Parts: sequence; structure tokens; C-alpha cells
Amino acid sequence: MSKIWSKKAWRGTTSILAFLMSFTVGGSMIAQQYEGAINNFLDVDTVKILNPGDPDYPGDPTGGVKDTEYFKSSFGEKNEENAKKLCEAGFDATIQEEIEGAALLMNENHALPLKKTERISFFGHASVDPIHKGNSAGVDPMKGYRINFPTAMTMAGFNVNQKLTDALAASPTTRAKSNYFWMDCSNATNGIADGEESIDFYTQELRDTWESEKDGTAIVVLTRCGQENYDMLLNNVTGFVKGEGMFDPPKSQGEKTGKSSLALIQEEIDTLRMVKEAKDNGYFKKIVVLLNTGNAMEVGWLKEFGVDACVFTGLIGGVGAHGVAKLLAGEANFSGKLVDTYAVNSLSSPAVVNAHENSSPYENGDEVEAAVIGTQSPFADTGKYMVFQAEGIYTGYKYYETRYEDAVLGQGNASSAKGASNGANAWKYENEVSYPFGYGLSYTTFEQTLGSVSYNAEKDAYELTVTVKNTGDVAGKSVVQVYAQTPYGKYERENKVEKSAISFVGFDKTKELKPNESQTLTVEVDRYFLASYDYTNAKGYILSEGDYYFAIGSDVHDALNNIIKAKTPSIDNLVNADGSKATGDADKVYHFTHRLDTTSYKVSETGVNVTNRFDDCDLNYWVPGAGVYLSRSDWEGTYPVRTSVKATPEMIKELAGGLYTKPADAPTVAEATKDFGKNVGLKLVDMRDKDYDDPAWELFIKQMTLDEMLNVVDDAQGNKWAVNEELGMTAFSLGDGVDGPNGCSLNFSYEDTTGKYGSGMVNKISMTCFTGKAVLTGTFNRELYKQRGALIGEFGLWAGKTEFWTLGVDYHKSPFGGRNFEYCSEDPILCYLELIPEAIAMEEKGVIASAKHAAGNDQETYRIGVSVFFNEQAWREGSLRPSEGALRIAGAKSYMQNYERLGLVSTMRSEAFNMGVVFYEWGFRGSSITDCTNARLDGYQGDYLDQMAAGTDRFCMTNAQIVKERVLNYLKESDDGSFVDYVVRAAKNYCYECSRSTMINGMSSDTIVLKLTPWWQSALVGVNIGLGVLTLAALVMLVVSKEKARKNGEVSR
Amino acid sequence: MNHSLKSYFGITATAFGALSAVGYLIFGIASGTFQGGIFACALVGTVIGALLLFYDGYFADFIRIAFVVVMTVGLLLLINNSIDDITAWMVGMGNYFGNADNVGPRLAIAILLLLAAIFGIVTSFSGKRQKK
Repeated sequence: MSKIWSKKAWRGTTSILAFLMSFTVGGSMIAQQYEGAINNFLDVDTVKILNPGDPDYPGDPTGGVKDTEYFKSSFGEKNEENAKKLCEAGFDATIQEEIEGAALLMNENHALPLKKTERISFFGHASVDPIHKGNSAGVDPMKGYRINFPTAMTMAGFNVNQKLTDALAASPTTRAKSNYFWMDCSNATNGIADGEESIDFYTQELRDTWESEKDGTAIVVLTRCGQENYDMLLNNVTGFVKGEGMFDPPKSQGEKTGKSSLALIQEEIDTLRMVKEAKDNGYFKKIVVLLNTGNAMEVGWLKEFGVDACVFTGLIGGVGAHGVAKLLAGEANFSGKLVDTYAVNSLSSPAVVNAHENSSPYENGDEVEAAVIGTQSPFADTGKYMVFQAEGIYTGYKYYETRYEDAVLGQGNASSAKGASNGANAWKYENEVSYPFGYGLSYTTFEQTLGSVSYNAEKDAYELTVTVKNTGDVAGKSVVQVYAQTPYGKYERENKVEKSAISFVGFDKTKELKPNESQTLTVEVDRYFLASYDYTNAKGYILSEGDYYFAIGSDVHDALNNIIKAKTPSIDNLVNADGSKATGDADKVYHFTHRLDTTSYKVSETGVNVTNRFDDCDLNYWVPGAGVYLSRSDWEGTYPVRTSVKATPEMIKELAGGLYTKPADAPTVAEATKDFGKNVGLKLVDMRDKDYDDPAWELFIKQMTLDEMLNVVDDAQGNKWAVNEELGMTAFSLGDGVDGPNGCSLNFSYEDTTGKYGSGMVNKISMTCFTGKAVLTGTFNRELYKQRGALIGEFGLWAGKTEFWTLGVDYHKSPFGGRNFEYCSEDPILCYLELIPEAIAMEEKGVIASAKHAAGNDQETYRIGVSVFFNEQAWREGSLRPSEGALRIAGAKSYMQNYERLGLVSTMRSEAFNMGVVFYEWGFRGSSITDCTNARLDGYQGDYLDQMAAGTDRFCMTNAQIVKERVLNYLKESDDGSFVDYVVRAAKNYCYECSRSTMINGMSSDTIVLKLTPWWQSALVGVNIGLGVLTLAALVMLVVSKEKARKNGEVSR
Repeated sequence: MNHSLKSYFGITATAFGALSAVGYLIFGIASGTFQGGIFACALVGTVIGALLLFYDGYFADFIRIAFVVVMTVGLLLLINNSIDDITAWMVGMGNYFGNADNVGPRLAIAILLLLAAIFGIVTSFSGKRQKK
């Protein structure tokens, strides 16, 4: 019996062991695919670096010690004390950004500043649950340093109605929380949902808390923010809505309201009405509204609800609320300006007519989908949707202000009802705009005087001197905003060169000026900013012939009024945004003339012809006459209409991709790789000073085998496969997020006893959660832009990061953009100017500032594969410009592409973009990376061959080296040696970028890099071997026991 | 057929295998994510399980172990194939990485495969002794 039982036991044991072994072996194979992610999660080193002087270094351990710290921290060596300084510098920067970036929009009867003795009652769930950061990748505030408004006001010494605040904090009301599992986004709103207390929340018991005293102050906090994958809604819904995906905007969860999500929701209206009643009854003396928003809200209702003061706080970062408290207390003065137009009705932007929810399927969308769709991930790209950007250049203020000028001057049918908000029978500026771009008040007043204007030929820039005098009673900083108007004449009308009536072209900011103190600033304006792209005739940038105007003004509208006054002294119908009569000031305008110039910008600094490369992105290229672009020559006749077309067979072929073919004269792979793998002793660190075109790069790269080159094209973050011992290359390490990249912990902790920032221990200092991009940009302070870049770089340097995907290089094409919080402004030139100092300062720390998502990431709706059609003027003067600042001017060494198609071709597959513009025209040197392809095997994201041929170097999240496999298979099947050139280019670009990064810190020519096998991999191997041996032994025992049983004549079932 | 406890376990294991095969076939085709390897494992496992209902010869013990291995491999292939959808579900971006809606059916099929393997193991421990 015991023997038979023994046989069963062995049979069962073998089954269990076989099961476990199958599981661990298979699991190990799956884990291997995600090696990088696991290494990053476990914070495991993949290399060991040995330098002369290290005990383990072979040879003389004392000889040849060199200073290999090419990138040094401004905070000194890595220890707890210096880490604390870095952490506090991040906190201080956040507060200063908030102080200088918050914009005071309204301050009736000097409602602000508040006295600390005033009793403050906060309303709105966002007061206790504000949006600190945008809802995408990025770092969350550290525990204890996520400061909301009441907390900041209390810490500042204000008398806050604590019972009301506590009730708000305890309320179960919430906005739709982010579904991002890897971060706590409970304080970030979902793009399609708003969360606010219903009026029932304010019980009589709570009302008693403010009705028990008179003359208090009510602060109402409102919030909005889109998120990755979610645009704000053009047609909002009621109720709590949880987003389920980009193809699944709210369905039955709520009723359509007919109003955009940038307008007030009913709960907010009820709250404001209640607060106004309390004010009317004397319980409140004033009402202050804080706009904690990542998207420009509609605020035309302020007076209706008796609001006395309104402040744009934007996204406040971890501790930015302290900055707001200082501003409200008058301990700091406002100097921030709006970086967006605040429209009365956001739907009046012509950019929304065909965008976001208004994106249209192709008329034969199903046919397109059938041809384009991948089999692996059927939802990844349908290719079915298209956007026709009929607005052309007229986005943001360029629409509202240009139409205003044409309306007051009676030209271009500007006053027609077409495009007028709320069913008005005529378009009137005061009915369309609440606060213009550049608007922002101060506790003091300034007088700005335009002095000399000169042209500096060497810099190809105009230099304007502006004297600023503080004419008020308190100290403050003043922003000098310079705008330009360029001619819109016969040539422009005939050749479809559209002109904004006014363009932002330069700025500067004073120091803090005491009352009566003056400062003279010199503002540089690149002449390039005055050029317009003529895509029909000159096919390049032109400087128009005619009258040019520079103007200063307190905002874009003020500057335009000044220009109109200078042009038309007799004008008497100028208005301000509030409808009051404006006069304009011709003294703030400089006028000059220019001849038609089609040559100055015809050739780039790199010697490349700047000409049309995106003709096929115009819908009319494929379907003649299909689309009309908005033109100021006839606002009524050209105002955008919903547009869709039937995709032609040629279009479908392009949409489907997979078009790379082997050239007829291609060498064999053997011929193309015959010089590979010859080690000449060059290491990555030796290349740190070698220009991109230095012949040494060819020698360096060809030290690699083809296989090694392909090791760097797939996602290299933390993956051992990217390590190259011979060349001294370690694995790549990165972080992601615009206002503070994630994955950057310093492993230092300290007890914060300052009481300035938050409370308690700072556990494992992490990257600062900075303010939102619109706040930073709204400071109009280049020093703060630079400081942001430098601090992000410092954190990266301390944490050993190679690259951060952190420069938001798109613009607010419409106020509904889901990722507007990542981008600087609605004005492309302001974006361009902001990104330059930030990128430079960051890369000075050895951390590559990767620009994402270059370019044209205008919407989240249908973003995977949507066809976006535009004309080249709008593209170059709009979408391309922020990237141009980061890549051409600042020289950032990496950029991440995006999912949207430029016309029919994705940025990943656009040779015109990656090579034509970025590499050749702009002289970008570094590497490009796709947005997350997630190892697609098919569909347009899996079109790896076409993408590499078009200038894509790296692939994001292609685990298991799927691109390498694809390329090797192709080369094996086709013997196409010409494709090897693209692999070489990708490897070179990657290595070039790394040679300028922290990857070389601590390295010299004598450094030895050793690959390490992560402990978890060793452990898995051990477990697999152990289980394998046990399984085999059990199997043997089973056979033995069966044989014994058989000999005994026993049978078991 | 001897209706011992072992045979009941064997029938149960085979039934789970068959359900997983049919379920995956329907799900894979409906969702457009069909992967032959997963279906093959579930199908082969079911065939093996069915075979064992009728065959109890010398090699039955080894075939039973093979049944467990095949079902486990199928389960692992399914897990590997589900990572996009699981990520989509966890991240909450429905159609970005994969399809979050697929997670439910995938989980159900995975449980069926796991149960098939577990009942295969239990069957291995079961038996009825006979003396020739």
C-alpha cells in the first residue's frame, strides 16, 4: 500500500512541480520583456563602474585619477544637508512662480489685499481639493507638502472659517479621479467631469458659521483641467462622470448641458448665488474668486454674482498656495499676466469648429478603418477621424483681436453675425472677450514709456527701450509686453498670406520697483518674428511690404488699440473688453516701413532651403476645393464650417503606411556592415566634445556591431540590453512630466522645522511638483524659466537621470486642449521664448531636455491616428514654433513625437518633419523617440521600418526589443543594406545625446563598465533551476515507482 | 469507465479546459485579439484530458502531467497577451495601451485555465488501486 501511495505521491508531486516550473519559466520570460520597468521599480543597478582609484579597479588603483564630474551640482556634494537645500530651493521656486505667475483679473474697490483679521470662508470643493498638477505623467507633491488654499491661508496667519473648511474636506464630493494607478491624482480633475458640492451641502449649521458674523470675506475656488487622453468638453454633461476612454466620451452618465465644460456648472452657479445672497445680507463684505484652472475658463459672470476680486492661480504645484496667500495678504504684489484669452464663450474660437468632439469621421470612415486598422490592437488606430484646421493662423487672440480691428475699421465683413457668440446679430469684441491675452493687474500702477527703437543687424533683431515707472504706492514688478503689426496688403490677399492684426513678439520684466522708482529695459525682438510664411507663392518666409508697427501695452488689446490709434488718429469707436470706451495711445507705438523681402529667411542657419514641405497636409491637396481657410479678407464668407471628405484610394494607401521599399541600388547587408565591430578604443566619454559631424563619430559608431546598434533603438530605459561595456555606455535612465518629472527620488530625508512649506518629515526627497506651465509662463520672467530648468536638471543630476520628457512644446490651439496644462500659452512665440532658457538651463546640468510632443499635439480626442489637415503658414507660425524654440534655438537634444497625423502621415513617419525641418532646417542634433508605441506589432504605431527611414531613432516602450527583431527579420529577408544606414543614424543620434548627458559623469577613457545581472534575474534563474531539478527528480521517482508497481502487478487509476 | 473520484476530477479538469478553449475562441475572434498559441494549448489540453477519460495505460500518468503543463503554458501565454489590456484597465485609458473592456473575459478564461491545471494536479493525486 505504501508503495502504491508513493507512486500517487510522485505523480502528484511531479504534476505540482511541473506546474510550478512552467509558471516560473514562463513568468521569467515575461519578466525579461519588462526588465527595464522592473529594474526601475526595484531601483536596481545594471552596471558597475570602476575607475582608477577604486579598490576593485584592475591595475594600479591609485594611478590616473581624474576629475570626471563634467556636470556639477550647484548644491555641492550629495549629502543630506545639500539635499535639503535642493528640496527647499524647489519649494521656494514654486512659491515664487505662483507669486509672479498668478494674475489679478479684477479688484473692485481695492477688495484685495485682505487683512489677516478678516474672517475668511472658503467655498467650492476645490478650495480643499485644488488641482496641484496636470493629469498626466509627472511627480505628485510629497506627503505633507500638498498644500491647499485654506491651509496656506491659515499658515499665513489668516482667520479661516475652519468649521466650513473641515466640512468641505470631509465631504465625499469629488471630481472624477484620474485612473492613473501609479500616482495619487485624487486632487486632479478629469477633463470631462466637474465635482462641486450641491447646494444641499450647505446646511443651516454650516451657514451659521458665516452668518454668525458680519463683514467676512468669501473666497470661492473654481477649477478645471483636461488630462492626457481627455479634452475638455464642447458640450458638457451633468453629474459625476468617469471617463472610460477617448473613444468613449460620456454616454449615459449625464445629460448634455449645451454649454462647454469651461462654463459654470449648475452646482457652481448655486454656490455663487448663495454667496452673493450672503453678501447682500451683510455677512460678507467681499467675494473673491480663485481660478485654479489648467484651461482658460469662462468668467463673464463675475459681476452678476457680485464678485469683487478674481485671481487666476492656475495649477499651484505642491506648495504654490503659499504664494497665493502672500498675494492675498499683500505681502507680495501681483505681476503675472494671462497667457491665454479668456473668452466670454469659449465655443466662439474658430479652432473648435472641426476639433475635439467636432472631429469628423471620413465620409467613408469604415472603408478607411478596414484598410488601416491593425489586427493586434484594433482600438489603437482606426484612422477614421479627421480634423480640418480651417482656422488657419487665427487661434487665440489672433482671432479675437484681428476681427476686432477689422470690425472697428469696417473691413472684411468682420461685424457680421457669423461666429458671433450667443446668437448675436453682429460680432462685437466686448461680447466675445472677458480678459485679453497679457492681462493682469497689480496693487500698484506703472507708467511705461516707449523710447528708442533700433535695428541691430548683427543680431537681426530690433531693440526697443522702454522706461517703466512705478506710479503707485507699493512696490511691484512690471511686465513690458511688445507687440507688432505687419502689413496685410494686396500681395498678402492675393497669395493667401494671412496676418494677425497683432502679434506678441517680445517681453521683459522689471526688478521690483519701489514707488516712484524707474527702470529702463531694452527688449529684443527678432526680426524673424515679423516674417510670415507664404505657402502659395514665395513658398518661404517673407517680410511683407508696407507699414510695420511696434507697440507696448498692458495687454494685447491695449497694444492693438494703441496701434489703431496711431494708424487712424480720428478713430473714436475703440473699446475695452469690458465695453468701456478706449482711446488708444499713439505714443506707445513705433512705425516703420519695409520692402517685400522674400530672401532673408529663405535659407536656414544650416544652409538649407526653407520651403514648403507640408503641401500634402493641406486637405485641398488631396481633395481640391474641399476646405476653405479662415481669411480676414472675408470673415463672413470664410468662417469655418464642419468639414469632412471621402478618403481617396491614394489617401487610404498613405494612411495604411507600410510603404518603405528596398531601393533598387541597395547594397547587401554584408557590404553595408563590413566595417562594423572594429574597436578603435573610443569610449562614449571620449565623444563628449566631438561635434556631430566630426569624423570620429563614424569610427565610434562602427565599433558597434549591427546587433549592438539595434540594442539602443528599443526602449532603453533601465534595460541592460542598452549597456555597452566596451564603449563605456550605461543603461538609459529617464523621467516623465512637464511640471516635475516622475521617478526621481533622492533617498535623503530630513525633518522640516521651518514651518514655511508644510509639515513634518520630508521622507525621501523627490522632484519638486512645480506650478502649472501657464503659471510659470505667466510670470514673464526669464530668470524663473531658467530656474525651473536648472532645478529640474539638478534633481535629475542628483538622481542620475539621463533624460526627462519635460518640455511641453505645443500650444493652446483652443482652450479645450486636454493637455493645455503642459503647454505654455496660446501664443506660439511666447511658448518659443519660454522654452529656450528652461531647456538650456536643464541641459547644463547634464539632463537631456526632451521636447514633447513635437509637434502639433493639438487635441486628445481621437489622438491616436487622427488625420489633421492644415496649411503650411498655420503650421510653421503656430504648431512648429514652440518646438523650434526648444530644438533650433536652445539646442535640446531629444524630442518625443506624438500620435496625431500631419495630414495622412504620423509625426513618427513624417520625413518632412523629422528630417526636413528638425534635422536639416533647424540643425537639431540628438535623438527622436516615438510616443508610447507599447510594442505594437501592426497599425501605424508598428510601422517601424517606415518610421526609422523617416528619421525616428528610438521607440518608447517597445519591450522585448521588438523593433530590433523586426529590423533584423527585414534585413534577413530583404538583404537591404541601405536600411542599415538608418540603424547607424539612430545609434549615432542616441550616442550623441548620451555623450552630452549625465551618462558620462564619473567616466574617463580608463573607466571600466561592467554589466550586472539584477538580483531578481539571478533569483529567477535559481528558482527555475531548482524547480527543474526537482521536477526531473520527481519524474524519475515516478518512473521508478511505476516500474516497481508494474513488477508487483499493481494497477492504479 | 470507472467512475472513481479520480475520473470525476479528470472530467472536471477536461471540462474547464474545454470551456477555456471555447471561451477563448469566442472572445479572441470577437475582440480581434485571437492568438493561436493560447487556443492551441487550451484545445490540446482538452483533447488530452478527454483522452485520459478513456485511456488509463502505462503512459496515462505522464500524459496527465502533460495536461497540467499545457494548461499552464496556455495560461502564461494568455497573461502575456493580456498585458496591454491589463495596463489599459489599470491606467484607465481605454484604447491607449489595449482595451480595458477585455480584462473581464481574459480574467474569466485565465481562471478556467488555472482551474483546469489545478484539477489536473488533483487528479494526479487521486487514484483507485486494483490488484490484477
